[in-house]
Amino acid sequence: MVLRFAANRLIGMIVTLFAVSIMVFIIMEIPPGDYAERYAFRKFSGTGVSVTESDIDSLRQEFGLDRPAWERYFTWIGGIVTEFDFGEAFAYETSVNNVIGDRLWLTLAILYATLILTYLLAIPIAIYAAVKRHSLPDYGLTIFSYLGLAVPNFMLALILLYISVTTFGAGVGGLFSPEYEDAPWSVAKALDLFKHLIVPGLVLAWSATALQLQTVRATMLDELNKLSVTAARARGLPEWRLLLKYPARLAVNPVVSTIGFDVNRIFSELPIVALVLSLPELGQLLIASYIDLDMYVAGAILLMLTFFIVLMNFVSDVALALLDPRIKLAGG
Amino acid sequence: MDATTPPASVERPPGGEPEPAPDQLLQVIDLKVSFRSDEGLVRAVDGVTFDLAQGLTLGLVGESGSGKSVTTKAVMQLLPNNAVVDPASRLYFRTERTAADIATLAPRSREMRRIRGGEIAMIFQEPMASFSPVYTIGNQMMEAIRLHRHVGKAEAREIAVDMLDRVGIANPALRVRQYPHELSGGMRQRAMIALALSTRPALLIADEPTTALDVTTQAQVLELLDELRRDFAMAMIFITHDMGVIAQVAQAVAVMYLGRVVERGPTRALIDTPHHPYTEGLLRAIPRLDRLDERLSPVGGDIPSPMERPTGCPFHPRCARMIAGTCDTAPPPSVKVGPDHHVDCFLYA
Ligand SMILES: Nc1ncnc2c1ncn2[C@@H]1O[C@H](COP(=O)(O)OP(=O)(O)OP(=O)(O)O)[C@@H](O)[C@H]1O
Ligand SMILES: [Mg+2]
Repeated sequence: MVLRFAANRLIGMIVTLFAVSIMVFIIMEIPPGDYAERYAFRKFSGTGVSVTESDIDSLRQEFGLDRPAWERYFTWIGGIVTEFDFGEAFAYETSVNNVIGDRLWLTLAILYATLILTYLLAIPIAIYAAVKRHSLPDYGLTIFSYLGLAVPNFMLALILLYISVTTFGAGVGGLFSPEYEDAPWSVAKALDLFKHLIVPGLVLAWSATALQLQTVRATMLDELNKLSVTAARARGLPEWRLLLKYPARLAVNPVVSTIGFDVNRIFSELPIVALVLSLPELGQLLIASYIDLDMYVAGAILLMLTFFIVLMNFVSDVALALLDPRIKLAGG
Repeated sequence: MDATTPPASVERPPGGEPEPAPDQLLQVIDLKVSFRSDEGLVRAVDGVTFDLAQGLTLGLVGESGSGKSVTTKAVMQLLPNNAVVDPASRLYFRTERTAADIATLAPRSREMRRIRGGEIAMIFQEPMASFSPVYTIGNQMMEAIRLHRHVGKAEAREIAVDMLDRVGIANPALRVRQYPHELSGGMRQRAMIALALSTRPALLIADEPTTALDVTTQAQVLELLDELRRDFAMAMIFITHDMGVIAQVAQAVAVMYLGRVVERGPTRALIDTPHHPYTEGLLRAIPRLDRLDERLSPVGGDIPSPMERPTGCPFHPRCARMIAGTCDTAPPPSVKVGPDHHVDCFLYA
């Protein structure tokens, strides 16, 4: 049952990704002008050389920008699918793959660190708060949540940066200490990365945690009042076992169903946090490539980010189907 | 208690502790339950007293809000956190394995958890909502069985299948593996009964178990419950609004009004010679084929809110036979009007 459901969703995911790739390509085409013009402007502005239309045309030919859009689309997507080749990064005069390089993995590391931190904090705390409703810890958590939602991320990033620099003495900007920056991967380097992930993870996770805390707490309160919980209690089940098996199990559902949403939010909040903490991630590169009209870089980043949002939506759908048997019946 | 009260089986002797009677399965003595609310303490159950013998069914009737569910939840220690049970309340429960005053047990104690589900089981009005939708019927049945009967997984599954078969569910081996939403409403209530009885309880509390079912299914489930009670030598408290249902399943009745039992006695005696004006009203309200167009309103007037409990007899504002200056000033005495037949009313004092 779950397998068939997953297969269905997988096909849906592939169709979505195909549609997304076309949309990304259209977005790449939208900005006025193209890289040929930009290149000509850069190269010759201020030199007094006048650039003619035919100069630009020959540049277009050189970059392959003269071919029709659909042909360029298929060359582009074909390269990505068959060779994981995202094309040329004109501005850097190298391949997109080289430009993006480790940034993809670092972005993913921040993403998953944030997600895991969010869920590890939000789910148990919210369940506890709901069970101990109207107690001091419950009120405390509510205040903490509102703080998390009210304080802007960049400010939180600055505060945490300040604290970690002043109390731990170490610079937390970047993702690696200088000595590991160019070192090959090792356990020590991974540990160093982990240390550097804590502050951005905390900043990004705080607001996500605050939001999920409120959702899980509300669902848990709802579930606690269900007759099925009273019925389970009437069976003589010990209280904590009962709470975990029945209401808590269902209170996790809204979290699972909004994984894709969280991924999306983290991606959009990441650039600001990354700017403050000077992290090499994809968001800033995306903005830079847009300014340079370096469209294959922009396209590759957009495609990767949406790929992970779609992928995490797929994961969320399948996980939800595993958690709730009613969904399989409707979807399979 | 009023000094004029005639002695009855479980009435409290003046100034002394009530004594448990060894022949009764359950004795509820002067049960008082209040709820903490923004308006202060609200009394929902105000001195309920009744007994229940082994193997028999007691019908608990009364309009909405009269305290039927709260009374039985107190017996199961299933009241919400904002409920306060008066410490003078007594809930004597006696079986082969147990002799306890449930009112003195901590709700989460091992002993209470053994009684809850093992000795006293409960089924509810909405069979759909009684099961968790994310676990199979078998999972939830086996959970109860393994909690109370020290058996392994395989044996628990066997017991579950047998019980489903026993309550008339076809193809029980398939049903244990199904989820609640895959069963029809009537089947779910049968499954709930199977779950409740799979631990062999001495007492089953059925809180309006048939209200959500259609008439045909309702009749079948009533019949099933009565049959199971006899076969399993189990007692039952059957909650309903409907005197007609009581006549079918119960050997004894307690009529509740605004948190008090106003009349209790053997079903026959109570139906043939009702004493309390409220009981008379309820009996008049049994739907009959020759008066289908009449509205089913047991008694004129509205039920007062528990926050504005009338002084004296709680029923006096709606009572056609109210004695002015008496019923509205003092609480009515409990009068014995026949064998095991008691009524709280000034008319018989
Ligand atoms: N959790 C609660 N908090 C506050 N008051 C409550 C609570 N549960 C019940 N009550 C009050 O206790 C009184 C008795 O309620 P109860 O549920 O026992 O009525 P009932 O006789 O079972 O009615 P029904 O036939 O509608 O089920 C009602 O006035 C109700 O408002
Ligand atoms: Mg009720």
